[in-house]
Amino acid sequence: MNSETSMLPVLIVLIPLVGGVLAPIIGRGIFGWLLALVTTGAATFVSGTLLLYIHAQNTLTPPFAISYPLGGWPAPHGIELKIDLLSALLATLVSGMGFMVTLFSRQGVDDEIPADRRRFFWSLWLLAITGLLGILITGDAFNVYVLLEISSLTIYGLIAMGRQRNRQALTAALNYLVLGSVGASFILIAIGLLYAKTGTLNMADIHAKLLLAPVDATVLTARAFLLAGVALKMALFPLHLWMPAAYSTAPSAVAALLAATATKVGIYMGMRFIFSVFAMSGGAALSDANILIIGICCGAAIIFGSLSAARQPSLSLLLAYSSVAQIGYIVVGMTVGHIDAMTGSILHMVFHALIKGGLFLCAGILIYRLGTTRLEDLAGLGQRMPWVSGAIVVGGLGMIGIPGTAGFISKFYLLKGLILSGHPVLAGLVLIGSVLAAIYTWRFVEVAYLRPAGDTPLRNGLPFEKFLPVLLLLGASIYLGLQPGAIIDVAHDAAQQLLGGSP
Amino acid sequence: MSLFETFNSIAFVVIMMLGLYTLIARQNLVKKTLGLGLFQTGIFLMYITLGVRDGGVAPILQEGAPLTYTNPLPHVLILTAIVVSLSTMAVALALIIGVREEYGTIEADEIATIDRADAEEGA
Amino acid sequence: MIPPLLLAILLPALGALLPWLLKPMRPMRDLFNILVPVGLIAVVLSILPSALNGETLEFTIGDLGSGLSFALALTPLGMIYALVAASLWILNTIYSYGYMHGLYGKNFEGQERYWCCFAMAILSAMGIAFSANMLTLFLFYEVMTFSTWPLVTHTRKPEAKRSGRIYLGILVGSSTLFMLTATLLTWVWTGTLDFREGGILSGSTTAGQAAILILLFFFGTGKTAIFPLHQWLPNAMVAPTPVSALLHAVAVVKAGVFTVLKISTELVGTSVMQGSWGAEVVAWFAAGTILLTSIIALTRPELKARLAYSTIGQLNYIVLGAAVAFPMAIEGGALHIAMHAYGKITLFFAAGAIYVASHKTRVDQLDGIGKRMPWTMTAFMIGSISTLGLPPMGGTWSKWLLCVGMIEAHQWAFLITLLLSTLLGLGYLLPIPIRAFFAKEKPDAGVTGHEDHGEAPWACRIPLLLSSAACLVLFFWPGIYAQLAKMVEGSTS
Repeated sequence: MNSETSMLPVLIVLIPLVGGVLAPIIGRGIFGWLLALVTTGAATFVSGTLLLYIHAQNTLTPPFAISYPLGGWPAPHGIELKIDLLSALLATLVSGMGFMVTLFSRQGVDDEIPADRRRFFWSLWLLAITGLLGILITGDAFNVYVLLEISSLTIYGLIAMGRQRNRQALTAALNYLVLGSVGASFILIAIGLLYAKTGTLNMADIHAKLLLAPVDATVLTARAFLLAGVALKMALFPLHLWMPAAYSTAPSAVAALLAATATKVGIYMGMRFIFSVFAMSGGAALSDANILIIGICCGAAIIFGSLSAARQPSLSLLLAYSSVAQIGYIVVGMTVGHIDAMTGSILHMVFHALIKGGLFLCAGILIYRLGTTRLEDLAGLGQRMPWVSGAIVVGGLGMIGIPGTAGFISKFYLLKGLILSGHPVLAGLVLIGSVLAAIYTWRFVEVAYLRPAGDTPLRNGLPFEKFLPVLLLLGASIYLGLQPGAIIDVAHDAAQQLLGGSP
Repeated sequence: MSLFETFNSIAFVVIMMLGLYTLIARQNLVKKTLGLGLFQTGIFLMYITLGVRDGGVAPILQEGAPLTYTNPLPHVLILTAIVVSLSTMAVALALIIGVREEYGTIEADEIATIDRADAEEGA
Repeated sequence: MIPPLLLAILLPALGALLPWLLKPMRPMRDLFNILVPVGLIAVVLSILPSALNGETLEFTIGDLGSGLSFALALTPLGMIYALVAASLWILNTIYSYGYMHGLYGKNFEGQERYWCCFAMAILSAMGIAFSANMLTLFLFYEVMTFSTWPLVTHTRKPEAKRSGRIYLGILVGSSTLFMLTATLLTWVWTGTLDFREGGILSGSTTAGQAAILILLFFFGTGKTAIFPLHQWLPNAMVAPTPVSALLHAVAVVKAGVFTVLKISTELVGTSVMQGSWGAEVVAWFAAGTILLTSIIALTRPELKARLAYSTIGQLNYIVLGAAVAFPMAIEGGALHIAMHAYGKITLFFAAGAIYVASHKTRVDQLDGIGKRMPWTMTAFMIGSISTLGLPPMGGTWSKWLLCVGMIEAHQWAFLITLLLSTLLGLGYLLPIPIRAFFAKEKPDAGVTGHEDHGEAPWACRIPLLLSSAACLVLFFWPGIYAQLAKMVEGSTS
């Protein structure tokens, strides 16, 4: 790596961190928003550059990853940043979504957060993004825990800031705090056990040492604790209970950011630990018994999530339960260890972030103009707010996985991988999930288009900066649905790196 | 494993379970938070126990014959984890203050009743 | 210059946008509503010489890697479907003006959505007709389902909502659970989804796998209304008649039968079809559907319901042809796409004209109506004869070929089914125009407020007359369609 790019890895985390620290000081009024916009934009730019660089290098000499020792202390004693293709892809996604939602949120924040609190909001916002990005690029196990807690604590705070609109935000945040801390503590236990076994905290080093040592109770216990903790963070059924309340009561910008990024980072942690740390050479990363249990959870997530979504009284809750189902898809692709299923998983992580982010932004517009997302108040939305309704329908079609949307592409690869790896039941579950997604999407369509217009007063206009991110995100989902070649390439190579045993 | 380590291993499991029990069974939010803290303390105990060496001395470099030092790394990790635990408790307590302001109570069952009543009213 | 295949898709896309863009300028909007379909006919006709010469034009929309892509290609079968859809779009548009304005006034509610969805449906028809591989076909197939839903639920009444749910439930359910699975399995087992002469299965799949694929594909194509997936069609009658005409003569159902013909000839391959037990099962279901619906049609007093069940039967003629897969059967099926389209749309146009003029919906109200509506009922007579496959109407040729195909395949039971259903058709269709002209008008037959009615408005009559004329003309000069159908048959041997 040449000297200009040698600082870039650490900048991904450093820029939002500095921004988060500066925000309470200089972030009054519009400057808070501008600061957030600039820092997330810069972080996106840096991650994107690294993504392109790593992808290009990886095509020449696979597998390729950037290694950056913090403070010059070399691994395995020092903490190093380890960015491979998956990390870079997700880092670009997280910072990009952060940028989009920030762009969208100026009026929303003005609307939902009291004036004297706004600079703290932006501070927490940027620190949360710092934590999330850090998890993606670090190569040290304990560092993962620290950054996980950084992001989690700030997110608890961000959710609680929705108390002005709905006081249940406080209990939702508290609930998430308790469950999230227990989950993070499980991860801490796992890291401790791994340290006891291998004497190192560097993930690549742990992997190397585990390959030499026999698999004993310590390792299995560590893996079990890790899977449990990660499952909670990614809201895999039945550990998803904190999510619907948290997403529906949080400020709309926070909900959009979380839906798009937080669970994906949780899934990334799972992927990284299972495939890059615990993976035994030559064998599948997860035993058949594991796959069975996780498969049952995913199947339950898909079915229960989709059916619950159809029964929710408000759009926010509907979208939250839909996310529970979509996470089932991503995890089921991840567990079978087949290259196409993993490609499908990674693709779905990206596409779901784009689509669900866009949908939650639409929900944010509804809150901004109508003050509510209760379905009975959305009657006739097709006439009152045609563009937003249309956007929600497009997002819904993406959830169903209609060909022409990005959701179809990821689903196709998932199905192929599941069939080829000998899990037709799981493939059938994915298909059933699509049909179920049609049910809850159509619930919205019927309310918005087949009912006469309601009379909840419409306030404020629709500022362009609110709709532009929606257009970009959902437009991207259609574009990628028709021209997915490049992104499939990246996802495939990332899956290859992961399954081949990341360096 | 020495007697000391055996005792610690059992102790940290007991402490963790006590913490979890408090977290789940108690209705008072502050008590729940204390349970969470207790749970995390158990984990700290586990880590520190890992670093113990038979006949190890405090990890401060000394002149003379090479000695067995206890492993300082777990201590460092736990310092970080303690800070995290502290911050978590601080956030939790801040949220509980907010809950007290909004609901007038900090008992979880009473809060749930109020929320349910709200939902029925609004529906 | 834009490749003509792409233009065939872009032009209806323009037609979908214009109603919204030109909302404040009603006359301009109406002008373009006529110009765009005419333009589409021009584009399709410009491709026709290439099709007749056996040239294949191709265009790729997007590449997905590993052998998958969204792409368009020209084939004789596709040409038939595209010609039918394009020629009937303009007729349906003119008819819509007459019908919707006649019943609901010039400012009927939801106009923009109506015109937009019509255009989207035609867009997807073009896409299906010109799809080069199963993935592209699936894409446009789904687009068609979703773009026609707002048309089915146009009136917003509770029964329309209910029908909409059934429509979507059956079509999306069957396509996602069966057709998508079949597409995926095909890709996994053969490595490609391209449509090729002779199919892509032989040599790559076992007999068992082929049978499974055939079953999944045929029962995944809900638009053919094969039993037990037929329920959406009679239910969709709640929609305004131009929509029914579009759905049941032009776009949706033809998409279904086109799909099964395409799959039979260019995905599975006729040789595999002929030997597969899966195809046998499908053929029996199709035959059963034909008989069942012919009998039900006899019992229905509502005119549109009778036409609906008749349509299900007619569609399954084509499914039967595709399932039996002998050359004449395929040729007959392909030709029937065109013949049935013109015949059935005539009948629906007539039914709608009757409703506009007199508000009558039941068969028993139509005695003697021929005196008041001579043009309409003459057209109805022509359409009936064509649908029944009797000379001197175009439907004769396709039915003839289908029967010969059954003989070729030694499928006597199916031959008898075809003949039997024709007989039944004589019972449920022909009496209507006969009684209209030769029975006396019952004194209490009129609907209050419309007792003394005359003919339908000219905007309704002209398309009616043109389509019935087409039925007549196609008997004497089946030319283009026959030639294309022959090419389809030729490509299978």
